[in-house]
Parts: sequence; C-alpha cells; structure tokens
Amino acid sequence: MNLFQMVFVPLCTLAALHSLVRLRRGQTGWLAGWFWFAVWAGGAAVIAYPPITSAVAGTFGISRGTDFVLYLLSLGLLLFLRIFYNRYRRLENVVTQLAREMAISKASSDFSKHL
Amino acid sequence: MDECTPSRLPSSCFVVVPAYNEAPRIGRTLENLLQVASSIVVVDDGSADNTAEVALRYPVWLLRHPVNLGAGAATQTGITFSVRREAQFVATFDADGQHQPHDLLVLFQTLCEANADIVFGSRFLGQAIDMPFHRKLMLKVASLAAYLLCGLYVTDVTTGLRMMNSSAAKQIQITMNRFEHPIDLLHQIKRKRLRFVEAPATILYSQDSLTKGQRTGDVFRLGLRILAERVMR
Repeated sequence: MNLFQMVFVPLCTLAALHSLVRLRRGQTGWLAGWFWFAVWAGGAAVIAYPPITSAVAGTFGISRGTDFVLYLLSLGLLLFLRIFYNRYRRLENVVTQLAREMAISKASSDFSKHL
Repeated sequence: MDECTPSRLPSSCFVVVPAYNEAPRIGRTLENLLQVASSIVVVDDGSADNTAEVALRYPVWLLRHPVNLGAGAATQTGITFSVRREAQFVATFDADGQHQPHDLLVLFQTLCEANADIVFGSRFLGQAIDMPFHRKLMLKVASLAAYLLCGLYVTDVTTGLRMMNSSAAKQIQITMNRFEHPIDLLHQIKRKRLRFVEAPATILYSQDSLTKGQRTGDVFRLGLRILAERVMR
C-alpha cells in the first residue's frame, strides 16, 4: 500500500461511515445519505484497488480506468455547471424583478412632490 | 411644424436615465435634458452617493433600486415603468453628460420618418469628441462580436442613446443586468424582428466619463458572459 492509499482509504471509509450515521440519525434524506455513502465507499474501493476502474472501463470499451473516471467527471461537472448556472440566472431574475417592483411602486410618491 | 420634427419631445415620450453614483453630474444632465423633454425617469441603481437627492430637485420621476443591479436592469426598470405609464415612445439617455439632449430630437425624427421600431444613436455616424483610440478600438471589437453573436451589425453597439416606440418597449425584456445588456437588446431585436435604424449622435468624452465608463478589459468579460449565456441556457 502506498502513501496515498494509506491516507485516503481511511479518510474515504470514515466519510462513508459518517454518511450512514447521518442517515441513521435522520440528519439527511435517504437519497442523499445513500448517494454519498456510495460515492465515498466507491472512492475507498477504487483507491485501495485501482484495477476496479479498469475493469469497469473495459465493459464500456475504454482501455484505461483513469480515462473512464475523467470522462465521467467532465460530463458530470458540465451537467452540474449548466444546472447551477440556470438556477443562478433564475434567482438573479427574481431578485431583479423584486427590486424593480419595489422601485416602481415607490416612484409615484416621490414624483407627487412636484405635482 | 412637422410632427416628426418638434422643438421638444412630446410628453408621451419618456426618457429613461439610468444612474449609478452620478451625483456630481446628474444635475447638469437633467437641466439640459429638461430643455427638450418633459417626461424623464431617473432610475437610481442603488447609488452610494446622493444621486437620488440631486435628481429629486428636478421635476422628474425617480425610481430607486434598493441594491445595485446594473445598467441593464436599471434601463429595463425605466422601460417597464414608462410602458405602465402608457408612454408612446421610450428613450434611454446616459446620466454622465456624454450625450447631447438635442440628439433625442434627431432620434425622434429618424424613428418617425423611417417608420422603425427602435433607433440607436451612433457616435460613428455622428461625432465622438475626444474619444481615445483604445476606446474606439474596443467599440469596433464589440460591434464585430455583436454581429457574430446576433447577426446584426450596428456601428455603435454600446450606445446608451436609443429611442423606441411603444410596441418595441412592450416587447423588449432586458434580462442581462449589467454591461452586457446591449447584446441582449440586439438579440431581442433580431428574435422579435423589430425594425431598427441608426442615427448620428454626438458623444462628448470627459475625464469623468472615461474614468467611470467601460474599460478595454470589459470587452473580454462581455464576451465571456455572452458565451456563458448562449451555451449554458
């Protein structure tokens, strides 16, 4: 076992256990709890035994496991980027609309001073 | 006098003046503007100085954003307000004193005679007094980028001097809040098939306007923002 494995396998295992504890205490939903448990447990497994990724990659016709992980991460990040960009724009539009309505509703009383 | 060439704008023509931290300049701008327009809407975009207090000394509508949202948002607030007040024409005019109020009459005449929906005041068809070379280059690059992104070529894409009829004002909804809003506007003109023309305008560059105005690096930021908007939505 190399240094990276010695550090990150226990860390990922602890994180996976922590997800289960949070799920058991009701501090997280079942979907989020099991999702993060799977992420951390999977991380611990592939760090401890790297050929797993190559085996999975092989079933998709990709020769190297690292390439497979890289493709998945790139696509996943692009998807999340798009989702969050759209959420950010919607939120920005809502805030703008709110500020606009406040400004317009107050306008009459300001102008009335000149009437 | 011909209805297309009045000596003053009709009261149904609302002039929107977006303003952010313009207290030292907005008084003079409004004094000049009141010589040609009677329906003026100042949109104070969350200024930290007393822009609003100065504006209130004049017979204008004052709208105040509680927070700073950007020039695009302020412009749209003014347009929305004008449409609700049943404006027949809506113009936009910068608060920093760069524009000449009489150019609004030229825009009105052009809009009327060309039977267009929207008219842009262009410094490249008119005059740009004391415009630095790098600013000219930046504007040319912006016009080219706008052409590539929207398929519409305008000589002065970032101009704050525009006039539109009520039909265009009702259809346009600027959703890009900050300095990239002219591209949003052009995109909507193209998508909604509005008829647009350009008219000559005079822009006066002062030390103030150069300090406060857009910087060369903004062109690249603008490009990135537009690209994100096109790719991510």
